[in-house]
Amino acid sequence: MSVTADAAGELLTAAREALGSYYLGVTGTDDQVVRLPEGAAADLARVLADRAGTVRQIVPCSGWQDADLFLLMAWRQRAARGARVHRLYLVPYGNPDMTPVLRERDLDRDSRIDAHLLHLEVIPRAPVPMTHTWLIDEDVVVFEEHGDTGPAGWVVSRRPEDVRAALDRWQQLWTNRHALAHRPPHLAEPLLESADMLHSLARVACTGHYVDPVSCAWYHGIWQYLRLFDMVSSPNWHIGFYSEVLREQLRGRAEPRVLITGAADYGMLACVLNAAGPGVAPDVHVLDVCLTPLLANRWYARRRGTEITTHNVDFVRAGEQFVEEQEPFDLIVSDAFLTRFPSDDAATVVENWRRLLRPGGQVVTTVRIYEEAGAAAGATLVTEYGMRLYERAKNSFWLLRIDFTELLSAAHHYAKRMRSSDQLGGADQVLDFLRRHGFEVVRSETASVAGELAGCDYLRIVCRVAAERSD
Amino acid sequence: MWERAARAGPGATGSPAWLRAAGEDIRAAQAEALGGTEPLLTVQCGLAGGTSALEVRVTVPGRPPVLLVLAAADLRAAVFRGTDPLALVAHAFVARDRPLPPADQLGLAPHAPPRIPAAPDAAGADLAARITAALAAKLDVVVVGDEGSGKAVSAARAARLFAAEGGAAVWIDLRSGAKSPPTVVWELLRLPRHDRVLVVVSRRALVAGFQDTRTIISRLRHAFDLDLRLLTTDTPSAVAAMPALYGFYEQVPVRQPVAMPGQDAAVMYWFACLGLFGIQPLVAVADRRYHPEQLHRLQQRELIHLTAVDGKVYYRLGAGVTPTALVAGQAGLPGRAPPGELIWAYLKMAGADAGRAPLEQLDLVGFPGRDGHARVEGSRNLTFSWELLYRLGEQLDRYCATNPDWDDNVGAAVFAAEALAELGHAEQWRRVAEFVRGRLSYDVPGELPRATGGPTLEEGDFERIQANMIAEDLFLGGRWPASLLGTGVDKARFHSTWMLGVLLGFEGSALERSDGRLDALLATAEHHCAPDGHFYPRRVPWVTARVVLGLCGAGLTYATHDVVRRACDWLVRPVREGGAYAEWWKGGTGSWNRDEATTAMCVVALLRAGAPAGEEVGKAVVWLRSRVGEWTRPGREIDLALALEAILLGAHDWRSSYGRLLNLLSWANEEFRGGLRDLGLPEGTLRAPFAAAQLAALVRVAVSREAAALVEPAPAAAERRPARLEPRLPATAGMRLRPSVTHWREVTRQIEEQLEGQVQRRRAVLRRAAPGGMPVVQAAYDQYTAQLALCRELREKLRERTPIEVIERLVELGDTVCGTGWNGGLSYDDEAGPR
Repeated sequence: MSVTADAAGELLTAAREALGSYYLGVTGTDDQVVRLPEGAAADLARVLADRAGTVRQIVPCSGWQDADLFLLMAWRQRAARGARVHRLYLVPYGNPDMTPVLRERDLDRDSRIDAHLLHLEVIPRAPVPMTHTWLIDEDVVVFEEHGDTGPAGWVVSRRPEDVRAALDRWQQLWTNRHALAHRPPHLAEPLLESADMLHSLARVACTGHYVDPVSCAWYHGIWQYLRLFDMVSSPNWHIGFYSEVLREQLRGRAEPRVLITGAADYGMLACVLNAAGPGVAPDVHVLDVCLTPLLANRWYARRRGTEITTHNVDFVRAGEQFVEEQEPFDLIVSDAFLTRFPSDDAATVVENWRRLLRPGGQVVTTVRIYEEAGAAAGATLVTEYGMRLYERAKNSFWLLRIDFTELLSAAHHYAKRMRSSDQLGGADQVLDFLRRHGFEVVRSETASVAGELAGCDYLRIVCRVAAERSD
Repeated sequence: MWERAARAGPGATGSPAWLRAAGEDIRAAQAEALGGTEPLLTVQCGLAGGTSALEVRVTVPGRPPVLLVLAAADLRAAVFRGTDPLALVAHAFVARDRPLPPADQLGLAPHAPPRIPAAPDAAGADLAARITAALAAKLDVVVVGDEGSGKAVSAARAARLFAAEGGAAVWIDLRSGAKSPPTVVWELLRLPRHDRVLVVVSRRALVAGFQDTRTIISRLRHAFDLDLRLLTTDTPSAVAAMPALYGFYEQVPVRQPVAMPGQDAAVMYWFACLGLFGIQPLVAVADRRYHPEQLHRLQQRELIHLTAVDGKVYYRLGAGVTPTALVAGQAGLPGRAPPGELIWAYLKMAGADAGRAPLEQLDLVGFPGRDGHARVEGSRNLTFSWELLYRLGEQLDRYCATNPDWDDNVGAAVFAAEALAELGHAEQWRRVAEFVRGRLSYDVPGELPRATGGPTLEEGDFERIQANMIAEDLFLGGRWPASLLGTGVDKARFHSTWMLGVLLGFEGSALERSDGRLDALLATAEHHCAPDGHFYPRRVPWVTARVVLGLCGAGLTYATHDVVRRACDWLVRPVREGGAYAEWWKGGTGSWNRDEATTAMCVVALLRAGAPAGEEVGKAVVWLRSRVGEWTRPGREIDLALALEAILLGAHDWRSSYGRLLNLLSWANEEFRGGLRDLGLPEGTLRAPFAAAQLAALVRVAVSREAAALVEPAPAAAERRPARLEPRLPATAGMRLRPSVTHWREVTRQIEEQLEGQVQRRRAVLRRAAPGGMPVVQAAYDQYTAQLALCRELREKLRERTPIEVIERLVELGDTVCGTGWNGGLSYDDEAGPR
């Protein structure tokens, strides 16, 4: 028995040695920095709160767990006992659920914490890591630290460089707190919530699409993540145009029939519903060849308290039959849809649009224009696309469920595969194309946008069925 | 020929009696052909139930028969035309639903082996032996050689050897419009029983016909469980142009004896190495490297040619030169550097613009390997790395112009010099070298480097390192003797020993060699290497790794230098035996060079030194990868750079690391934009020069691995076979059941998608190139186009019950294009059972 007990004791000693080695790896030996594992945050808050005089806190608002709530509570109690606590809640782009945030802010104010909500833009002017950051008396900064994968750690640093960087960030945010408090994004699109959902959904629901006839999971699955970092073309690139035009089109009609043809997600629906405003109940139909965006639209509509009709139809191959089955529409909206097709198929799309509209009905759309032939993406552009995403996402990727490496890899795949058709040509050619297919152009404007791989131009168009064809 | 059927008279045609008579004629024809011996394939005939047709059963013992139905109309035509009865059966086997063509259109080729010279020369005997060995290993073999290279004779000789060892050899000549598939079956029906049969198809005349040969042979193998081998011959250009076909064959090249002097062979090796990456070297670069007479001689022999594109003159390889074969034939010979090194050296000499093109091609489209299997598509982010490297180089130039002493930081200066040397920036390198060589004294053999004129700036780092060691000791307790504790470490010796390694690397890669200094450093390394192989301090393996890296930089390896060998042996010796290895390598200096950075340095040192491959490096690389969450944290970019180099160099699937170059590029870009600063991080002042040196190292490593992959042999066939799972439903003869035809179509789409991308990207590259300017891309474009056509053809044939040949060709195509496991293990019933 004693031999066994000794052996067990040795094993436990060895295990303690392993633990010591592990902790050395975690915390390091820098005399100005202490690192702690993720699970040590509560202890950290407990011991630091009692020693802090003035605390400036940056709190990221997304996906809070109980551990986050505990930290908020711990510092709130300290504030109630007399410490000066200033708190900035960072609301990331993508509309997280604000209910718990507003509740915490109200509790803060009850505890004499000077708390503010700051809405971050899609690409903040200065990078803001979405991590808990506590500046304690300008002596020490405490922050979370993330690698590309695995659990975060906590860093307590008195290194002047770290303290200075945190203080600069704080001051920049604090100075702009009033401006940022009232700058939610243009559309209330819950991208943070739905991006993860679509990523999962695409794996089971994606079938085939204009971008890929077999399975478009690679496209729909990554789409909203890329939107979160403004890496892909979306209605938001033309939000002023859509808002204005759709408002004109929808206001004053009780139940306009609206058709959205082609939808990577619910972005266009969000534009329509926002433009409709109170008193207008548009009868919205969304058509796409893949089920995933249709389900996303349905989910979003219900979230907005409305219902839509979805059509799982290939608008090119089966559009004619669809036309026969439908009542006429007042309005067709479609973001960068024609860009997906070679000119023959684009002609079919436009012909179908024309036949679906009631007399006087209009199409609101955007088309990427090519004054010169489109070139394939070069290696440098693909790498730069990946780097751009890396730099935009490295401060917040942990708010998403997708692994960072998978996100970067999927984006790389997207950059290499995704291509637009250049067959419609430049602005004049596009307008001529529409005229040839029986449309009268009511309004058109070109706009330069950031683009995906590189900057590019779009034509924003409003057109209606012409009395006579131009050809 | 049809005596019994003819005897029945025209009035009986189609009657049961007539059909029975015709059946007897078929059996008699087989008996006559075999001369009474037992057939390989037995033909039995009977009346098809309820029909006016003859049922022919082709059998081998122990296997279910293959049923063929000969319509009365076909029989009548055969009797009328005097068609060979066995040819009728062969036709029915090959083309069941097609009516019998006239006898002269059946396309049967007589068995006609070529004449074989009585005594082969040494090369011929060697080729025949290699063909025989290939046939023993693989079912399908192609002999690749130019017209008149003797491949057909050697194939015939191998066939004779095959027959001499108890097999049967059938020779099919496709001249005069002969059709291979019916001939194969016809010959097998006339063949006595053998355990092994070799079908030799000479003179490949029609690709489609030849592909069908393999299809029919595949069917025969599965239907009758025959050990049936296929041997053919073709030219290198044809083989290269049809990877979809020849990717499945064991390729046996005819070794053209290269009768050239040793020096010419070495020059051709250089050209061939560049040819792996499709590089046509600039004449200006080649002329700097080789004597004009040598190059002229090679031109005269048409091994290289001059070509001009956009006003620049290049050398291109002669039409008969196959880079992969030439490199494979000479790699490893004395005086032959690895292909990657030569390519890297060329890229640097060619400069930013000329070097960019092959890297862009590597990023976008890859290069075809020896047999097409080595190609893996996808951006490696190397083009951007290359461009950034040059931008950093320019920044270093500017900085060095005004501050060649790097604020008295010799470590930073040396890293800058290494980067400048890589980029060939001689002038700035000379300025930095002047500072380094003046600021440190290291020309006395046996004496560690020492500063002249007071301590250098980076010596201060060793104060901080000592503080980290003390902190580590406090944390872990005293695990070291007093002299190795943080409090007892000799900082000056520690710094000087580390500097020994740094300077070895510097002098080893110097643009202007100082042999005296290098010799002194080597003697010092020998003097200060402990008997067990470590360098001071034993607690800190990254010092020993640094010295090994320095020695490697001076061109020494595990095989050639005792100190490298001893140091490497110490690195991989377990800690419990006095070495440094503890499943990975512990830094011994706390947060200053953490375990991840230390392990990366040790891995790179061992691999660069060419130390014997043990499990230590492999295990350490896996550990390193598992720590990605650590070395990708902000502020640990030096760890990141070192880890990436180790993984690129040491991991089996190194390509998976290319994506992480983004982290490094982002950091290096920031360094580039932000200039030079000390963030108080380990080696903070070294960051920018280190970033440049490390980017160069990473591109070099990537180029080396990709080049090596291009000449690697294909993985063994057995590894490339898909898993054969249990079928979900019973199968019927000759058909494969779907687990789901939809799934098969989806996975087939993967192949198609990949091929489409490859074709489109190449088309884009070719569109920008001068006509004929990118022959490698053009060849790859042609290959992929052919593969794409095949893929689409096969996809069209996918049905709920798909002929097995279609599935098999699809699986093989998928293995070639997408790699093993591309179909996710989708099953089909292998009714032939295990082979």
